[in-house]
Amino acid sequence: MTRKPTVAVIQFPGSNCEYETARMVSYMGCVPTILRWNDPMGVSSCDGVILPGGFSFQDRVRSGVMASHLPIMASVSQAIKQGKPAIGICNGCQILAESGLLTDTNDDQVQVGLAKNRGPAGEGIGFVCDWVYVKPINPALSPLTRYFDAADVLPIVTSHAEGRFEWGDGIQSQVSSHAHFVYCDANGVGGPFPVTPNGGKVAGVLSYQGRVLGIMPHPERAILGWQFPWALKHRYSSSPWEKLMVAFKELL
Amino acid sequence: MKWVVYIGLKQSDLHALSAFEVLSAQCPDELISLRRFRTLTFEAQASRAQCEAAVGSCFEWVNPNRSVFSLQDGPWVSQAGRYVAVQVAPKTPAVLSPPVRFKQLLPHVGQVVESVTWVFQVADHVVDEQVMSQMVLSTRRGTGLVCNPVFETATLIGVT
Repeated sequence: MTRKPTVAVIQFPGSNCEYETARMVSYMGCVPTILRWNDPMGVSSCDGVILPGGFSFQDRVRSGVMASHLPIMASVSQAIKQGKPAIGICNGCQILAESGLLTDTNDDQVQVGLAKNRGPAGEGIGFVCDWVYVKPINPALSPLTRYFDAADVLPIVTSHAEGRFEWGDGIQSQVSSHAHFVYCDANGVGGPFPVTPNGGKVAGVLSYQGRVLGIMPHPERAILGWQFPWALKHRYSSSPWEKLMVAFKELL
Repeated sequence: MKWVVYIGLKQSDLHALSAFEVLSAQCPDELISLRRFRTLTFEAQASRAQCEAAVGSCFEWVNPNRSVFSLQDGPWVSQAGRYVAVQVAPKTPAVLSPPVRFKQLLPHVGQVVESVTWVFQVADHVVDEQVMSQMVLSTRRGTGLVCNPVFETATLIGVT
């Protein structure tokens, strides 16, 4: 009998999406293990890692930065460098960014930041929770996005106050040439708020040869066909985000 | 004239407590205490008393049950010990819309810009550059904390 791969879903103090993320992992045929933040040794026994959304440490100081200093993030960094796939969703994406794991650096240099949401005139717009659309750019360049088509337009829930990607020197051009997700409308065209919920175009980036995904919107809230609201006027027997999870499972 | 308001909590500031926990593990012999102040900066042709009255009447900014504020002088100035104050602000300035009461009391006020001032009480042997590199600028995982230099700036605004 073949062993089902196990995926660590790391629960930080303040995470609030770990159970629906675990359900997504079960749905794709893997075994979810909800690991507490104070169990850094547990990461090594899992085949992949997902950092779920929420408000780790109440977003104290800056979203994700407190969690990035925990010993478990050293274990996550080690697992990623061993080639294990990882996904950071929302607060998990912020934690990956603050841990220096959203760019390919050996010494976990912080080169990406997630700044506060801004409107078209640069004004602060606070927390935004809504259905938006994203589309993959250069999907064939990453093993995690290879089943997507460049023409795909994917509905997804966004739910954050600090999700505008900011880049260190030279990083933006690197990101643009790799696979990533950008916000768009239902026709695949970009635009200002509310098409872009935070003032930045990018919704998700990939690093470490495309095996690590940091994404601000929540794929775990759009993984089942019935999770899509009628108002979106899309009818899915299954979710388009299954392609991400199929690719993730193949990397385990 | 440019006015600076430092707003601190009367009770424990959980952001500062958590930051202190992290930084005191990283720099156990350097850091003694850490405080945090929400900082508002604005231009107004008004007297100090007028500005104090305007800020003090804006409960959206200063809730008198839990916050205290000081105008112009950093709250670290009169205290004994070595203090290093660092102002952390987004590279794109965070401009606030002032409450109506504030605009009524200071009709010609300019933009109100928000930032955060961190006041590090450090051991006497610690130099300013050490505070910036070890405690302020988060350049890699496990180094620095209070400013992500990718999208924030940190400015040394006071040393005693």
